Amino acid sequence: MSAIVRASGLVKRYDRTVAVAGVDLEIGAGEIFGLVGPNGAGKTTTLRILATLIRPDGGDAEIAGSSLSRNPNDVRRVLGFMPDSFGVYDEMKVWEYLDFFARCYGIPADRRRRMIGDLLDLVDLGPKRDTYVQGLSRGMQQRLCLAHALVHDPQVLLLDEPASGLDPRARVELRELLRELRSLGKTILVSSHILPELEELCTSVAIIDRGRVLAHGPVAEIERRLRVGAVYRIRVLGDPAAVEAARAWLEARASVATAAILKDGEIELGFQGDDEAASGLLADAVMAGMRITTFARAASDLEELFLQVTDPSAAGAAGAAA
Amino acid sequence: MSLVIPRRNALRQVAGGIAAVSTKELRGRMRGRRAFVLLTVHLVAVSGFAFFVEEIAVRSSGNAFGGVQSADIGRALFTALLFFLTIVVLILGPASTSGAISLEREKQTLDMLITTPVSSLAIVLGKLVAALGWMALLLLGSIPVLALVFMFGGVGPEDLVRAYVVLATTALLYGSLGLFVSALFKRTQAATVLNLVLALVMTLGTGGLFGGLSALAFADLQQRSVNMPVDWTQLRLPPQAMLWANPFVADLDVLCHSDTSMSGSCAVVLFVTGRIDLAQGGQAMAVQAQPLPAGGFAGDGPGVQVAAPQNLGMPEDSYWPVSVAAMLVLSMLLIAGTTQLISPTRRWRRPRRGHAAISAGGVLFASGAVVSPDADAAFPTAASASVDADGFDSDADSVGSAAPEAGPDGATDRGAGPGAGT
Repeated sequence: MSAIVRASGLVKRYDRTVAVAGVDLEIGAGEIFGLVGPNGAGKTTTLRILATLIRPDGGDAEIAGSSLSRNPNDVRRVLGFMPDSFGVYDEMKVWEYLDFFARCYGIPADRRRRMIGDLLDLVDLGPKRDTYVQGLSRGMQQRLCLAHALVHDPQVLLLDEPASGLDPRARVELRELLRELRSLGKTILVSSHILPELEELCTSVAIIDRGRVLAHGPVAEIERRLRVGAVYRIRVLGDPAAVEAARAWLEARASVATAAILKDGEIELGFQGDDEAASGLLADAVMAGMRITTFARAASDLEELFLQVTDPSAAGAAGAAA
Repeated sequence: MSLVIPRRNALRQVAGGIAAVSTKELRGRMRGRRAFVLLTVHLVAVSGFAFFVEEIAVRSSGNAFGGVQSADIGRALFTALLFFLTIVVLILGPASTSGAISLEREKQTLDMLITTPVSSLAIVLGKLVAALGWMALLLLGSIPVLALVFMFGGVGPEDLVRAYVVLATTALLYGSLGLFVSALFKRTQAATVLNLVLALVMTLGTGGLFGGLSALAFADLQQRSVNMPVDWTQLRLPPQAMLWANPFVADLDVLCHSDTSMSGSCAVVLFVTGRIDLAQGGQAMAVQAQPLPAGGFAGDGPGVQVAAPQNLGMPEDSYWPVSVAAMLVLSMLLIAGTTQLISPTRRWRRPRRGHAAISAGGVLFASGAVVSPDADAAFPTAASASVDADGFDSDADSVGSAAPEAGPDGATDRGAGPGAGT
């Protein structure tokens, strides 16, 4: 998988605060890449640098082979950008809005007309073609703004907090839309501070905090590299004494960092190891005579990962436990 | 499977960008009833104003001579309408541009626009073209009313052409200024207020300042020449350059062309262009420097006698072409400055809140006192105005926007100001 976005050492300072302190990113073609971090971590600044809106104080990036600093106009032609609060013009109809941006990219009139129809179908706004933009719902405006970023059929999409302020249904629709775009061959870089929505969507993530990338890569790989364990929940049949015995047995295993009884026979494990190790642990536990009814990995790994990575005290605790 | 967009040459690309942006702007502007209501109100106001001026002129003219002097009515009408339209331009120019950039910032659409291949220059020019197109509609719409003056006579078609050249340049300058201020501020409200204040300062303010400084110069000269004839060559008038961005003074020169009296507009033009020193020997007829309509020389000294020599000929066309040229240059500087302000690769940062006003003040000084490559270096006041401008310059962090062109004179001008950054 070749990298279509490659950033190295991006730095941006505002007066005395450093918004971005040496960000390196490598995003493969066709990925949906999540940029995750708390508010003020430098996600938006990073995206705006990539979108040619801010000139970095240091470092450079290459997008589809064009350098950001040397050929910003080439970069703009392969890039679609959606800012965090998607802007719409008043006094403008839906098709005029797209027509305007298509003209900005120098797309000839006959192709514009066809393309606008296709795009409106893609984002499900076909019937709204002649509606005024300010009359659309927030979710619709947001999809229209996404459509604007697609008028020139870019290879790379930069979406800054695309799901903020959307209701759950609109979020689901957005997620579907992004998957569809990925299937059309787009590479999508999406930032968010809301983890669950990225976890289901992204092929890779970068966790960013205080202007630095703390972890970068496919979610599973990040977990492995950071040796931050997964959480497993095991339900065991038997009286409390048997459950306590099972807990003690599990805690004694090398791959288990913590084991705690939650309630009626459920044990939560802080587990370090890959799926292979997990299946081995399960087999051993069964061999040891435990009557296991459930053995499941708890969801929202990314969220815990995120908390551990971005909070120094939690990261220290995790390290100590390991 | 990226779409291959054919590369065109840079000029065509800029032209395409301007067309795209101005089309979008005009679409928004002309949509709905607002534009047509405004146009109607404007035309009704111009017509009504013309009617009253004509009525007043007919009656006063009739009283004075027992018979109506048609040409006088024509000239009075022309004068009144020219000033009226100038005021319209001074209000509508800033009003139609002061939200142009800041609104896009507020709605974050500017970012989306800048990430397209449309250049910052094309964005600025596109918005300017749309604003000027709208003003052109109002000005051209008023031509039939202005053509009324031909019925009365006294004013020729060439006067009308002069008038529209000055009006168009005024629209360009104040439109560019509006855009610049709009790019300087984050909030449209602040930009609108500052724009109107600037329009006031650059007309009433510069006029008043010029009048006041002139009065001081007169008083000074008279004090020095007690018991001897006044040597007018010793009179040190303030630099006329401070009035170049003031369209009312250019209007007066335009009016002077059809003015037969040598008083009124022509006298002011003679005065401003500093030709009173030709009036030695007392052969000239003495004329009173008239206070300007719409607040010209509010600070003028009382009873100052300005002598115009008989053999001087008509002073028309001695001032307005210079003023128009200065307004064009200043507009270009402002356009370059605006382009820099919205460009992500700009050289200077957008000033922080408190400094924006200072920058704008610097622009004012640049406009009034400084863009003078010629004669005015002789006037000591030119130097003092420059000192003021340099005072802002010491705040090097933020006022780079405006102060650089505020050199002591044209020769030591540090580069082309904002234009140097492009």
